[in-house]
Amino acid sequence: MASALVAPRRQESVDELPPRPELSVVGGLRERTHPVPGAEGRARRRANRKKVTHSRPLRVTTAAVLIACVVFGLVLLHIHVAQTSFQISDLQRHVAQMHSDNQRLRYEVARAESPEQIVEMSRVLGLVPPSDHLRLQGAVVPAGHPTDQSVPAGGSTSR
Amino acid sequence: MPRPKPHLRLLALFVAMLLCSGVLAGRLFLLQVMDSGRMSAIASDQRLRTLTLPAHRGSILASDGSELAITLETHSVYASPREVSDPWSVAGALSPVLGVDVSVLADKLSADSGFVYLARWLEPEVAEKVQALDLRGLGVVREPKRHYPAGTLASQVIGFVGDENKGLGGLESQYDSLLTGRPGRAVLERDPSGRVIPVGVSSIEEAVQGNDLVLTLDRQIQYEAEAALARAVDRWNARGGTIVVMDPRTGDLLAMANNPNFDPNDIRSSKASDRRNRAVTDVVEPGSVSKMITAAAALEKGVVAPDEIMRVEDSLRIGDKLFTDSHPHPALNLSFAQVLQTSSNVGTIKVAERMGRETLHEYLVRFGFGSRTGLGLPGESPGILAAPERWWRTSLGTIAIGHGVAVTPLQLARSYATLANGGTAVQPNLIRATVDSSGNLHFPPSPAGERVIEQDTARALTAMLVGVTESSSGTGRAAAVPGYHVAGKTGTAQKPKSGSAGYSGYISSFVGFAPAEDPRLVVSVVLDDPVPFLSGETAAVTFQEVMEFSLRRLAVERSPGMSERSPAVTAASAGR
Repeated sequence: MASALVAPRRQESVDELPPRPELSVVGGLRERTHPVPGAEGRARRRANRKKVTHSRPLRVTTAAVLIACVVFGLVLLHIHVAQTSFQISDLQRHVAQMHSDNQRLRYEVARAESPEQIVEMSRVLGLVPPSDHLRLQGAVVPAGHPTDQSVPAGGSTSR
Repeated sequence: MPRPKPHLRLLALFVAMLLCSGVLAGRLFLLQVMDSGRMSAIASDQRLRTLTLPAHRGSILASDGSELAITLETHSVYASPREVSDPWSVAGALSPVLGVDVSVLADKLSADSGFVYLARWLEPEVAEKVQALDLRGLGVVREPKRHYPAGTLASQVIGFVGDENKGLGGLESQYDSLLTGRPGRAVLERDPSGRVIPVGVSSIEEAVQGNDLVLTLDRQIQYEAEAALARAVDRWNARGGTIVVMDPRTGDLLAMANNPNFDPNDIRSSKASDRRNRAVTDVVEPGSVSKMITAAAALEKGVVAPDEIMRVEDSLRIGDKLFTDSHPHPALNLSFAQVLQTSSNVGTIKVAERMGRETLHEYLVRFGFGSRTGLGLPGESPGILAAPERWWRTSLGTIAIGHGVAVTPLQLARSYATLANGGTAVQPNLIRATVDSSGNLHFPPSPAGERVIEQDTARALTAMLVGVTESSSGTGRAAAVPGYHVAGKTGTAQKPKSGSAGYSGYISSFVGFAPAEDPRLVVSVVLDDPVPFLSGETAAVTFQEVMEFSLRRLAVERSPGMSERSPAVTAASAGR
């Protein structure tokens, strides 16, 4: 049923109205066999209007989504930067602590290796300074080596 | 009454909102436009913090890279007494942790002050326990503290620092600017909790860490020198002494020992007199040790030959002064070499008279007497050597045998290093290298030495000095080292009284080098007032101990033809 998209008419007096024409059954809709001048353009414009009507919301939505993604990305980036900065600060504190620990360990090693400590530990272990020193003369060669000079036992040393 | 029409209510609401907005907008305009500068500054003040980044003080290392001085991070506990509500309660809680008396802590916590240290330079574990107590008004701050892991080893050479880690003595003072580095600066944005705002303003100028010093000191030789010195002081009841060990080829100082000693980890328990480096600050009359220079000058000038025979009495009068030998003896025909070996004063003075005061003074200066060594240690003395025009009639004789002149033990060592180095002077040196904050090594320049005497003169004199330790009449036989030719000289000098005329006590010394044919080490031993005072019985013995250890430590080849049971060893054993 065709909808009447017309503005409601002002009600006139019955006397003013023209006589109603005779009603008759109109035949079925006939396919147009001959192009109506301007009809194609009108049809195209109708189609375009439909397209425009349908694509605008899409673009707005797409743009909004893109902008939201960018903003979200920026926020994520800032969060990442902030987290990384905290990590860097933590690592720097860690490095400083490691440096401090390293210094302390170097100190402990130096103390343990000091001659005074070694002498004291030697004393505790019952070690005594040697009363004599053995000196070796000549090259020391393993027995059976091709260059073994067979140095006599005791002859190469001096006390 | 008719009700207001809806559109008038809306209008009224609109006007009211407009007015409010106008007020807000106006206020915003005032704050953000008109007052923006001031507000910005206040905000920056609140957020921005400027921190000083302390520079880490460089370490002092021995020649083998082991630490002799190192800075550790420690923790100090402080309090804001005005924020402490119950000082005695807090003191009671802290006392067992800090190991400080409750009343001492309570006194500090009751002070009318905003800041007070309760305990400084604590171990991290102790600081953690204090923090765990969570007491109001207390805090822990990190402070650097200098530590000396080797204790008293080379303490006068290394020196010490004050409470603010500034060098106050020795190398710590001499190289303070190099060791300190340069502090940095950080400008950071912080939130109200004090945390750094990661993406905020930040500007950091990194601190430049202090340089490390690598010394020429050998830890083991230094320890042995100090131990031998302590034994000597104890055995012969000496007031103290010094030992210097030097490489004559390079001037590197391998040891510089002083007695008495001190622990730089506990400065407050030491006396100022114990902290001075006597090897460079104290001057002594060298006595017969300086006869080496008289002999060198005479040989160089050709006024005497080593084998020239001289008539030597046991006394010689010059003006109103009578010079005598150490022991009475009849007139002897001695070679100049024997004059030196027996340390005859009369024979030496006779030779000195042949060359005159100007020549003797010239060679004393060329061998380093009367001027600083250039080592640069704080308090180094140049010694005392008067100009020849100020010498008295008897000064030539006096100075020729080592009196009337004063030198430091280091100057003595350097003079013998010149002889050992073939007659070329060598600059004493304590710094092998410095290490900058990037880890790069920097070596100090080695200035070329001046030739003092010809090599032939040096060789001839060395042979004469070997006789001091090896000939039967030598005064230094106790200094002989088994397996090595040792060249050296004994010296026994009376000590001038301080503050008045006359003498009191003796200085006993022995200076020598080995192996004589290819010197690797010079050792100078000076003992203050030992009993007995003869250096052949005291300083020479200590010299032998230190030289033997040092030669073995450096694995120096024995002298050719020398066995362990050489005649020198036999004589040395008999002489002790």
